[in-house]
Amino acid sequence: MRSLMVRAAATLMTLGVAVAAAVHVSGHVKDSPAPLRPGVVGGGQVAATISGGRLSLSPSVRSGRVQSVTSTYES
Amino acid sequence: MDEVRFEALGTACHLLGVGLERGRLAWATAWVASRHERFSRFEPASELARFNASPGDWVKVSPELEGLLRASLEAYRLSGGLVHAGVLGSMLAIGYTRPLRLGPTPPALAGAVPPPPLPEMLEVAGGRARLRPGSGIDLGGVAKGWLADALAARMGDNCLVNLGGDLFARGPGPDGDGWPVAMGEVTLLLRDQGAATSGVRRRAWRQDGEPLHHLIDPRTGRPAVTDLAKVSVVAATGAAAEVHAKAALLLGSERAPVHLTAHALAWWLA
Repeated sequence: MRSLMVRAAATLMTLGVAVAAAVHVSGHVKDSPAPLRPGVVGGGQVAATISGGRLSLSPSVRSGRVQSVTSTYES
Repeated sequence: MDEVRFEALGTACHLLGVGLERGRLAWATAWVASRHERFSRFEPASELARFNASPGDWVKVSPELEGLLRASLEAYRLSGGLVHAGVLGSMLAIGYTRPLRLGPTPPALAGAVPPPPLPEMLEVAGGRARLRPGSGIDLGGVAKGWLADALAARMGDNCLVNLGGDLFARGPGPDGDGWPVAMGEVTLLLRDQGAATSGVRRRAWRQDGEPLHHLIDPRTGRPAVTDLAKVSVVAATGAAAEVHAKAALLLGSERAPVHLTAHALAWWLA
């Protein structure tokens, strides 16, 4: 009988701690739009100054020594 | 590779494709011309002109105009309010009342004032939209990039749509390495990416010695004052590239790199 009561008390204590932890965590949700730390956005970026202009390329954009077929320009 | 060049949307357009269906370029040329007729504020019968003429009322809009209006609201949000489709009042006040090939009209600069926030001027619901009285929309800051994205999605699996320098490159390009596109002094190989350039040297004129141009700063309601001549941007879409190029131009050389580091894949500041 006594061991049964000890087991019941332990189970109740475990459940209580689990509920308290869940309440605590849900009350402190991380801000999902918050930026990552350390910042990773600029990682791997290549920057250069060419003919008076400033160029920056992320790893997802490649430059090439080929003839362009069209251009982006001010219109 | 097939290509075609033509004038539409008040600018030069260039369409290219590899392995396109026969007649696709002619179809695409007509597609762009029809969007000019529907979304130009200078065409009195355009859908945009009719929408601007009905402020205060909920107006039925086509899915494409709805898309462009939603893109305008998104551009406003992405740019922190710097790309503002509701600056039509300022455009008219500075004399940009008709295509500039016809020349600007005399300005009334007292009317060039900062507009209210765009979400207070423009509401968009499913299939309809409403404009606040006294407001007007100009899609010149968002339409070309958005239309380039839309046309590239329809034209073919390997194509490039360039509408006045705002473009989207879809697929592997002519040699499989991406579409070679000149940006500033370099050539970039773009694949499923957009690019755009914004500047203050074109569509510019002088009135009584005062320099005026088409890029309105919504913070002042006047033509933007910036230490940058032009900004070119590569982003995931042509629409995003166009928005961030304009925002960076308005931010100036000191703050533009911070904005572009967070939002662009590549950029050129001059």
